Amino acid sequence: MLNRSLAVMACMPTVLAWAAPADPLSEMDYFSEQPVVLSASRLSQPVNRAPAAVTVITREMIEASGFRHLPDLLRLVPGFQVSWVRGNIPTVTYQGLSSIYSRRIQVLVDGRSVYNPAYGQVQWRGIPLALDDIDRIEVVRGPNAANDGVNAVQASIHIYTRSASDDPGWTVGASVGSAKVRDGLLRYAGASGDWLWRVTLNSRSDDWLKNQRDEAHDHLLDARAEWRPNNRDAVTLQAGGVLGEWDNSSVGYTFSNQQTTDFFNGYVQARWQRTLSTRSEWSLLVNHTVTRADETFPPIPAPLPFSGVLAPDNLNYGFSRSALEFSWQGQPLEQLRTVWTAEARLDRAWSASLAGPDTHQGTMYRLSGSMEWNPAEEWVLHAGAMLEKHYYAGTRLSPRLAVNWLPVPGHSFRLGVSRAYRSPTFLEQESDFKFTQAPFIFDQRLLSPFKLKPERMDSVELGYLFHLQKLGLDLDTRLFHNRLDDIIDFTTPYPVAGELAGDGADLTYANLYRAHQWGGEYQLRWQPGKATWLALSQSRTRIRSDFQDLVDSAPAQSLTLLASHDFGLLSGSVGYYRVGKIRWVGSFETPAYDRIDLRLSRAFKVGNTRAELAVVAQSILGDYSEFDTDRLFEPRAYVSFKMHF
Amino acid sequence: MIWLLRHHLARLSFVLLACSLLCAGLARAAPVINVLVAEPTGIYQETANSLTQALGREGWKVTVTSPGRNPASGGDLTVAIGTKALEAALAQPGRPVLSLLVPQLTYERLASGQQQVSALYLDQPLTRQLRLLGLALPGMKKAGVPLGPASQGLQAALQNAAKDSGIQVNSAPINKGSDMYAVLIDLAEDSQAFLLLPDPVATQRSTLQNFFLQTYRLKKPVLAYSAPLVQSGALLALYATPAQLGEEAAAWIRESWSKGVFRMGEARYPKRFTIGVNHTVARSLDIALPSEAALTRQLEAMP
Repeated sequence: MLNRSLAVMACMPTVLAWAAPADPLSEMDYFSEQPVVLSASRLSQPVNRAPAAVTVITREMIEASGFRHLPDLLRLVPGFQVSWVRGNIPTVTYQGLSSIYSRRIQVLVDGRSVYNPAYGQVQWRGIPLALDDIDRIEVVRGPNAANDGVNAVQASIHIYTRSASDDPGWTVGASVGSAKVRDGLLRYAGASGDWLWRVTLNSRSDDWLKNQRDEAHDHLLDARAEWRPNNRDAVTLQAGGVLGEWDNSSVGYTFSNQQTTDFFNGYVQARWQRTLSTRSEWSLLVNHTVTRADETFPPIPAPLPFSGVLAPDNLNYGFSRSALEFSWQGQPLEQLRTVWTAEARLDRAWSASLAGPDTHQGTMYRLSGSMEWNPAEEWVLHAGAMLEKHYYAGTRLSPRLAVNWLPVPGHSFRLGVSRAYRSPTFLEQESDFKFTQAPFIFDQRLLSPFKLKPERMDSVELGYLFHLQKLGLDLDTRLFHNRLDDIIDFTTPYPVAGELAGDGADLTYANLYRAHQWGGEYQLRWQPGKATWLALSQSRTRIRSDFQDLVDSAPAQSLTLLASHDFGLLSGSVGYYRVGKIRWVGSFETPAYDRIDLRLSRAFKVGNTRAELAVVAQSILGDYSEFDTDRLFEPRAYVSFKMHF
Repeated sequence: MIWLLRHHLARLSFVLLACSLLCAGLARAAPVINVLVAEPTGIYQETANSLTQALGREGWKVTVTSPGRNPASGGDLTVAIGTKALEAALAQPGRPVLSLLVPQLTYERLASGQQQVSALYLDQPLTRQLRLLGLALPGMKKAGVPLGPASQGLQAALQNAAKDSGIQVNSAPINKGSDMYAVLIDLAEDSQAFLLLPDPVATQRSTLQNFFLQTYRLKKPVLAYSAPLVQSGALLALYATPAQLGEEAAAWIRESWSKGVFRMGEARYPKRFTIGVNHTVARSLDIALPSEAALTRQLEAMP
């Protein structure tokens, strides 16, 4: 359709009607100063010159996948495991080592960390971000603490949202399907003078697992404004919030079938970016995030001979984060690029039920520097380090050294070594969860009697990348070995004076284990023509540890394939996901599974209105489980319609 | 003796007369050039300097003024540098005018139907621009060209250039800045690179920012028309510098002076050019470009 209209235009250049009167051109259109748009921070590093393995999830992959939620997209990354413990507890890890709290992956949305300092995981459903507003997701496979600091241990996920200049106008969308899928989307993007803005309203509802009480409704509002007052400065203001109404607990403790969670997360962020030249720029980022979860359950009666009810009757918790970051990029020499960053953060967390009546808070200061040096065209040397003073982890240095060798066009090798730390979370360091009826302690469930050290990971990796433009082929392979020390987990009961249950604290946190991890993985992208592409990835992992749960926590192998073809009238895509046997730490074994998703879509264009009708069928092979064996994801289908004008 | 003195005086006066006649003849042979600059600063002054230096070496008389000041009267040729200077020069007809630093479409609008007026355009020929894309990006077959209202007049020329260069062109209109996004998405479907042409709508600051962000996101390189746009984010730019235009105009003026009059001939594109390359963008797009020198040599060798 499009090609035909362009061809018609090309054949009849003289009959075109032009709506706007032409302003005359002058020499100033050629010589006046212009903004440096593609400054260093906006240009992504080519993967064959990057210091680490990177997978980029593009918009076309997001759309072809048919996924409705952010964490599902990470199935497309080699070595990643995604599991829905419940409809409101999606959890994501890379190469295993995780319980339902995946604490060793840093996640940043437009530079703002959405890592939960209270529990350590990411509450994926509680990020005020519509899938439709994502521009791309860059996943660093392996440690990235030299750039992103503590908790960027196993992987680091950078989500970039679309500029407010993308898709100007109205977008309206809706999805309806089985498993109570009901989604709505309303977005407006506009511009006026030096300002661009976008406002998105999005609601998502579903009932995720079969025979589980886990219906979930999210309603989110996200807004973004960009102000470009001159050629040098760009100011981006963002604010958003999400309200979640979720059945059951959002933290994994279930005390009643009636337990519910009311979740709120809101944020504001401002970034001021000044471009000094094509080689030099700085930016100032300030943001504040607040999260509150109200989880109530019917009070538990006190055991006989006592009467009344036990406290607490809720698992309410909250946390907030304020961050201020200054970053400067420069190129002091033709062959040398540098980035310097300084950051201060204040984390606060509170949960009277789980960690006592006090609000716990900690500050963190960071200084990082990295350099990329090209002594010759075929060599790139990277050196970077992050120095942090963290409220729990102490003062730590996370360095990385990497070298890329590009001996002939199309082939490149990478060797990298790095160290990363995972700080204890507020819950791990401050937990004090007990059922009481003053003055009695009936049962001490959780306690943190020990001063915890951060977990440490040392990593070495070897990469090989192959690129053949003629065939549209890109291959990225990675071999790695990680050594983890001081892994924090639950330990044996700890005596508690006066506890009536008499068995001490059921669970206490301590630095307990170590693990070695070996593996290899590849991702292959093949695009033989405009109409067809496929992304294939495979991963193999082995873990050795003094804790069997860690040994079993990664599938020996996994495979992902997403393929898409444009048939002309219709476009179709298929996703195939195979994950080997896995046992998430502290849970039961989940057998290997195969999942196939299909998507068919038809695009329309009427005047200036673009529309798309799509049908998505998920898990067409039948029920399967991602966590234990009784939490089944059943086949489902939904229809979605989206219109832009 | 007195006779001899008279004889010598007579010979001396003859020689003096002959010398003065010759000098007068020579003075008539060197034309007077009035250079009218739109402003006595920046690119205008740079072009004027390069022109006057080249002509000054030949002993030609060149005066430089700007429209606001008292224009020099007389003269054999007015060189108007910049659009305002061209407008001022055309307001005083009857004397040959050579326009410099004015884009083709603007020149044609201002000078249509005028006699004794010619131009060395500011723009580079479209065929050369498309050929540069072909040389820089092997396998290049189609270029997308968003056209703002001011560049509509180039449609036919674009199609001719496509035939001459062997690079096909997909073009689409941008009537307002907010059209850019949809047009780029459409054009990108069938284009390997974008050609950016000057247009006040298409290159307005916020639209230009969106243009470069979007083309980069689409992983399509851009060939632009000026040095500042290489800094902005174009992979390549093809342009003539003010100094190059001044020198080329000087050479043309010298060639056109014959038998006491200027015959400038048809307005034309510059033969000289500069290729600007943004190596950072090339690296990020993973494009291995030939060197600027190699590209220049190959492009110069083309007809």
